[in-house]
Amino acid sequence: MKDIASETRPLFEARDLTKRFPAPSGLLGPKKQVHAVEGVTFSIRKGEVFGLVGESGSGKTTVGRMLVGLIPPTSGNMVFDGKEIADLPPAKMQPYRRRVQMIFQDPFASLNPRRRVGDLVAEGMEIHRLGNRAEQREEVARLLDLVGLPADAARRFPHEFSGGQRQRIGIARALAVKPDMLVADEPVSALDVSVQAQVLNLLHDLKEKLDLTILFISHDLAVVEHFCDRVAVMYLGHLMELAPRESLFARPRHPYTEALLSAAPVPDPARKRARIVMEGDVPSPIDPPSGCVLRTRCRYATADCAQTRPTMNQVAPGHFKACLRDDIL
Amino acid sequence: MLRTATKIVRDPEMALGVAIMAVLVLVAVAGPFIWRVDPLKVNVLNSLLPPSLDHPMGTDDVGRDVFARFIWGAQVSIGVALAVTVIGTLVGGVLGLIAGLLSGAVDLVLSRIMDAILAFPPLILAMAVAIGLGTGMVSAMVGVILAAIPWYFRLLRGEVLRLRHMMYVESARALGASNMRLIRHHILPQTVSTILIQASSVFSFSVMTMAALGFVGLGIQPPVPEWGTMITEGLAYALTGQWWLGLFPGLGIFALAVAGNVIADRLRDIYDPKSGLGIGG
Repeated sequence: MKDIASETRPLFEARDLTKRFPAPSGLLGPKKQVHAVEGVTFSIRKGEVFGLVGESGSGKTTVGRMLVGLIPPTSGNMVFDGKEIADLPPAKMQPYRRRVQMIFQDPFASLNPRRRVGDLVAEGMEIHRLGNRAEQREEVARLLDLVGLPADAARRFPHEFSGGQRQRIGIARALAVKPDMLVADEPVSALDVSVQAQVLNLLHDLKEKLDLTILFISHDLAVVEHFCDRVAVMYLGHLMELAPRESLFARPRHPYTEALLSAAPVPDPARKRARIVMEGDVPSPIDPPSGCVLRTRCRYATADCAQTRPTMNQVAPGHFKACLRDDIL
Repeated sequence: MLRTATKIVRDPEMALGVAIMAVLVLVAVAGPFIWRVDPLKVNVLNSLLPPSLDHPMGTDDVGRDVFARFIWGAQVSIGVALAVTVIGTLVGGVLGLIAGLLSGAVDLVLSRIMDAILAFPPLILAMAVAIGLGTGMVSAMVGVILAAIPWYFRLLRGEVLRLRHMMYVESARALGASNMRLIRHHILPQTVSTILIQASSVFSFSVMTMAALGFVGLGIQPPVPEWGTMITEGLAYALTGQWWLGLFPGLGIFALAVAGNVIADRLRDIYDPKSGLGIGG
């Protein structure tokens, strides 16, 4: 892993990022909202792989979708390369859209089945008017080679490829517009385990070669531990903990992370780990608990946890947690 | 597309529908050049002659050749049905696309207007419009188009809402694609089959409704030999034994409507994604 200390300028910053969706409600009842993302603050340094983990419904994908401009935030700021982009009108978003690209979870659904691979890869260049037709065709060939696909792939249709190959097409498609940052939303979770490593290695090589910054969204802790420099843990729309990888996996400081790590399988039968089971289900994001959102399932919760919403506090160098209890973990 | 074409050719029902349609179109297009008889020429001496070699469909009460009128009627029916289908597809389809893409207030207003139109039985609506605008071909067509617009509207709106959330549409949006580009490259191509199916049904609906309007005197006016009005004219003679006046135009309407419906029905099955045959590719 490259030394990231030398390049610490944040490429992207989210401050108090919040997204609420209108919830389906009765005609007369009060208007309800889904609290998908609530007051999330983090920054991503240039050249790092920033992991965002959490179970489904934790809001991690919503963060990614806001980041690439697919949905506008309800409130909060997003600063990319020094520029505020959260409230830009669509027309001014265009240069930013080019610089931040997304890799989608499902490589089967995210490629239009009726278009040829060459057209799919060239689409971004067409939209952003990068080069003429001939140059674009050359670039497509170069990109296909870069992601490890045969040159004749350009003339074929997505359904002729396997899941791993399709994800490579998705990566080529994102790279075609020469982005600075990639948002990889569970890029390998739809793939067979045997090809996950190949695609991850490809992403890693590309990151080094093209000097990319990556927001890596995943629920797979083993993958995150392998791939990310820093990791943020989300639960019910809130950030729970944010720390450098080594620090987080060596000593989780937040009850939620503790439980999450204890649930992940350890590839060593000799190493026994206490299994911490969270009681109950994730509460509804339409009506999240007061105070700390984790308190309904947290074994350390006190009366105070229902009153006060914890903020992110530094507990070790670069290691933050949102928990009122300083006396645990 | 090639596989779709093969599938259509190998489908016997589809082949029948296409064959009937082809024969009727051929009659309408080539008929006047082969059967060079003036459909408006009155010859009272030849009135009410039964079918013969000189008059394959007999003659009517003022001695006009029914076959020549049948040919002209085919032109009128097919031409009007085509115009209704095309205009209905364009207007209803574009409105549906707009409602689906913009959603919000635009969608709400357009959808309620379409619901209001749908509240009327289509034939009654077409009649009301035809009466309101004054009887004639154009007002009858406006009535039929108006009845057909909501069908396209709902269809396309639903398709856009469905496709808008497809991951590959999201993916194109993440690349920065404009709404126009999304429609042109990622949404419209996927709706072609749905539109074709609906268009075939609307074609049949138009044939039947225009004939019904003609039958009650609200459609195309004499002396233009529209099949519906020809049936009305023949009705008076059905009881006195001159069956050929009403039978042939009736068969024409029947065949054309059946052909349209069979084609719509088979297209639906052929394009059905669950039938295991993807289109494109």
